[in-house]
Amino acid sequence: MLKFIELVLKNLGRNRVRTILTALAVLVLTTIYSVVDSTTAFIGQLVSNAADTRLVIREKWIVPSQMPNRYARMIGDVPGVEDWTVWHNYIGYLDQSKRMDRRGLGIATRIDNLREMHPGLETLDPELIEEMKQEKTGALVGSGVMKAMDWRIGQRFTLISMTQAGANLEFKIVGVLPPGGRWSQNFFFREDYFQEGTGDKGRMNMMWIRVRDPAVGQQVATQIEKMFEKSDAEVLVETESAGVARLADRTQSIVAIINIVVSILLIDMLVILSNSISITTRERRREMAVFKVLGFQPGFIMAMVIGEAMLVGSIGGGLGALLAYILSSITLPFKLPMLLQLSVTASAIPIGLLIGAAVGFIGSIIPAWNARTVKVTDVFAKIA
Amino acid sequence: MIPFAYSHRNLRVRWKTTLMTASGFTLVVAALVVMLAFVNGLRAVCAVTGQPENVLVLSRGNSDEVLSQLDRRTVSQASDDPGVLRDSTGQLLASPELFCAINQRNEKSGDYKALQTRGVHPVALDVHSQVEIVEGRMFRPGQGEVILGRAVQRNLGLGVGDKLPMGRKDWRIVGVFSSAGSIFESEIWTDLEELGAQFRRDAAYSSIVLRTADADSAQKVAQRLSESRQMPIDAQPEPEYYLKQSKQTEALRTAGITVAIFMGIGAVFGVTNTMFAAIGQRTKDIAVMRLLGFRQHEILLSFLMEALLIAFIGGLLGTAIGYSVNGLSMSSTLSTKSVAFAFVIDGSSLLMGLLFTLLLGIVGGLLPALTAMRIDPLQSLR
Repeated sequence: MLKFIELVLKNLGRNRVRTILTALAVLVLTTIYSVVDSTTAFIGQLVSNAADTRLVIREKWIVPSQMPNRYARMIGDVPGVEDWTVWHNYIGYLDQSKRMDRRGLGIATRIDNLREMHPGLETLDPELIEEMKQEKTGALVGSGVMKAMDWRIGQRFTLISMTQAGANLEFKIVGVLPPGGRWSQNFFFREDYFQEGTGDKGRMNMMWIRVRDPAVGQQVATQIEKMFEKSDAEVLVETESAGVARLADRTQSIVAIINIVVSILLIDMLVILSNSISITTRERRREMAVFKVLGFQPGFIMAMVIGEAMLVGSIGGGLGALLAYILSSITLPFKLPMLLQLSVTASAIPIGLLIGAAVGFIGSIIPAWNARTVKVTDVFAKIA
Repeated sequence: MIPFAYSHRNLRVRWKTTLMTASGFTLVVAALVVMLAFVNGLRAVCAVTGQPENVLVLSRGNSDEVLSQLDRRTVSQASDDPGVLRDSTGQLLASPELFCAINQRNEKSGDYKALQTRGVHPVALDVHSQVEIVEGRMFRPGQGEVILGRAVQRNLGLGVGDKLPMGRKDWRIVGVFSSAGSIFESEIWTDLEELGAQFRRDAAYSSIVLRTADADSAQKVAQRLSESRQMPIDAQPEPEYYLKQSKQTEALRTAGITVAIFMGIGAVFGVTNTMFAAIGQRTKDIAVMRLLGFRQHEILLSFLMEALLIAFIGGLLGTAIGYSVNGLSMSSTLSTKSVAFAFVIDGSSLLMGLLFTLLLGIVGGLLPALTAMRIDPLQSLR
């Protein structure tokens, strides 16, 4: 085995320019693959992380949803509901530029159970919750917003409201939400501050409840929908997973385009790597013939070529994903396009490595087969 | 000058490698053209939406119709602007509108689908003069009737006379309208008051569209209304609003070009590899050519030409593949709206794809060509 590895490494070292160029091609393509794929992975993660024990309640027929605030207590008292919270959407511009890419979504909600009711916020420092209870204008801001706006903790900002015309609230940044995940582009603040600041006390946009298990969830959902069946504002109760899947469905066309791009990136990697390995094996036909004369089995020669491709591929892939991870975690002096702003997580690195290895394996099968079937007599006849 | 046939024939001899390398460029260009066509399609829909003589009024600070809320008093005040035209009967050409998405339940799957619905008064047809009933008739107020945009009709597969369940009741489809391929074709139109009453949005409007004499008047009315201290509103010529909506596609376009540049860098490494291999195999050829009297820059040009040719073949195939999506219909979310559009491949996208691939060819071929140029003929032939 050691002999095999040594041979693979020596072979790769022989034409360093080609090895480096091939690895660089895979590296660059894996970098962009990791970034692009993080978009669909993010949407997929939202759907898969959504629980069946968390239910979302919204106005049944119309978007944007608006329900009477009094529903909150009534729903909270339904047997089977373990905990609940409300959402008031507060949408506006994060600065005076009023640029489309500077729009933000603030969520006014109950602060006491913020960690318990919002998946991904479980790790939020409890001290921040205490600080929020003390600071009425406090805001917990997503890491993506902090990065995009170059804000610091303790800083104040004013949201120029689009949803409540003229009611522009000022906030003090108390803390940053855990990095990555679904809250990266949002901020949370106190419901009472929203109601006082905007004068909007009678309505809420959405409500979340937590139940013990999915079976209880079914019963609770049916009961709540029945409670408001004949009312002015009928409600729709669905599990978080169903709700998120429905929202994700709206991004279908963008996701389709992204998937096409991702597939093209993979095929591109495959073509470039395969081409490079083909050139290499063609140039080394004589060497393959010598190997055979020395008694090496055709399978060994094939494995050697595949091993070389997989090694180049995995190094390029691993480093490419690492580069994407590093780029996404540092603050760049320029602004990236919206679709390239998503965080690439550390899990992308082993994935990049595996993709590189897989591309190397698939891309080298034909060249490796050609190397395996080299006829000693043909090669030496040509030399003669 | 080394004959072009030399480069051309060398590529033909190594046709497998040539094709493999060219396919790297094919993929880059195809991806770029498709991404640009997607963005162009969305932009084209926005570009034909709105008329320059119309002024769109939203609540102050709002850039989105879905989030805007106007009360009856504001709508009435804005309509009274002296620049607003009247029709032959003396009625103001002012169209208050309520835009919302109605959840429609699919009885089979139990899923909900959002139907973009606009509540209007009959005057809307005079204000939005590009809207034309192409089948059936206009709805009658208060009768539970709707008219469908052409794109919605296609998506739902319904026609005049069919029933459309929305909310607690079934609405009767009485007409189908077109609007020069604009965003309105992705909407359902019905009576404003009936829509508001059905869905608890009484006396609430999203916007008001005012008809003025011409584009200049529209600018003046928009400015006057926006500067008004009495009304918390923002007014703008209608096409300006949709142009701003289409600005969001800028991010998509930049993202597409960024991805293409990265893919291009990958392809550059691919062609560099191929060209280095070609030079490695033809060191003696190059030496002979030098001894025959060809100069260094001629060798450089010849190898650059080879790289360019590979890129051109790949680029041409890529644009052909990309072109195949031209006219393909799709729906996408733009801001808070769902917009039906068709992929649009224009000359500039094709040209951009080809120029991009040629640039990549030059970049990828330059280093190997420089290496070929510097080959020592005597050393190589030894």
